[in-house]
Amino acid sequence: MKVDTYTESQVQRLLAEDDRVAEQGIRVVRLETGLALVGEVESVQRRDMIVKLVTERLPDVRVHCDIGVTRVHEPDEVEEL
Amino acid sequence: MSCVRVAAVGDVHLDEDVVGRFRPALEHLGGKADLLLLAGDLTRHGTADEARCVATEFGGLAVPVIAVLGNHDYHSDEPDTVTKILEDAGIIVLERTGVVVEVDGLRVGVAGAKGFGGGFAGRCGSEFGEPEMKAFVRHSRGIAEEFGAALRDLECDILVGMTHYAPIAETLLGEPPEIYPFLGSYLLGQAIDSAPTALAVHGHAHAGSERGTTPAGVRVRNVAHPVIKQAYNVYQLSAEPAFA
Repeated sequence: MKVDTYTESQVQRLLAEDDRVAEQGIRVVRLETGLALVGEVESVQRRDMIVKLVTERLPDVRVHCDIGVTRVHEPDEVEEL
Repeated sequence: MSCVRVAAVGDVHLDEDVVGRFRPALEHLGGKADLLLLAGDLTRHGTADEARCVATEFGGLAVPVIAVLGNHDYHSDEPDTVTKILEDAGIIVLERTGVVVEVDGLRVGVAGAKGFGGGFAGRCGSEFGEPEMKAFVRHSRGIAEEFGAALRDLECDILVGMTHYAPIAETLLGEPPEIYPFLGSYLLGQAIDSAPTALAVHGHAHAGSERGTTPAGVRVRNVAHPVIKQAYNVYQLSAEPAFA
């Protein structure tokens, strides 16, 4: 299935408006082979839920997941202003 | 001591699945910073349960914690409940208000507001046309005006402004330009520039850039968690104005 701009919009709204996800920071990139989801979330469970929902909504589209979990290490530098 | 170390992070989007992730990095916060700012979007949907997760994660720290709410924290239409739960955990929540905390004899003032969208100079919305459009821009203007007043009213040695929405376009670089009007408003920048602000922090723009400057030279930092990519950033501010 070809992914057009309407599909891209459909996915963006799904990610923001479905309460199981509620993510506005995931970019949807149209590829020749499907679509890629790009961005960062706060947990592995959220990443997996995003892929699950998009795959369920678009069963004929190959979904590439490029979503990372944002790191939470301590800073070791201070910016002096 | 004539300087203060300000830790800041926004867009942590707490829920049960995230509780405990930040805590290891926060255990040593007292040795790294004098206060912690939380720049909104503390929860996913703005529910009481999620607010309790924020209270668990960011309550009882070694330094004062000061927060504003973000758009996610309004999603369940109960921002007052979210605020109350955070305040019960000792977190100071600002909305068009300010607070002064003393750090080793230095008075650090923080004024905060959620802010709103509307866009930036030359590409901004106006209070014109349909009621919905006028209400959108009026909401942004009202917040910015009261935020500016809160900044100007603070009597302190170092002044910090905190919003969730962006006060300048520069820290949005990386986001699609088409959505800038949903990410911030120049009116917030104007409010920041109306007072002797030393630093302004904001969140909201996950794909934006960390550093920018208002037209009057106030340093702006986008501390959205996906931008800073660590538990928090630390900024050291001097009591002497940087642009004297």
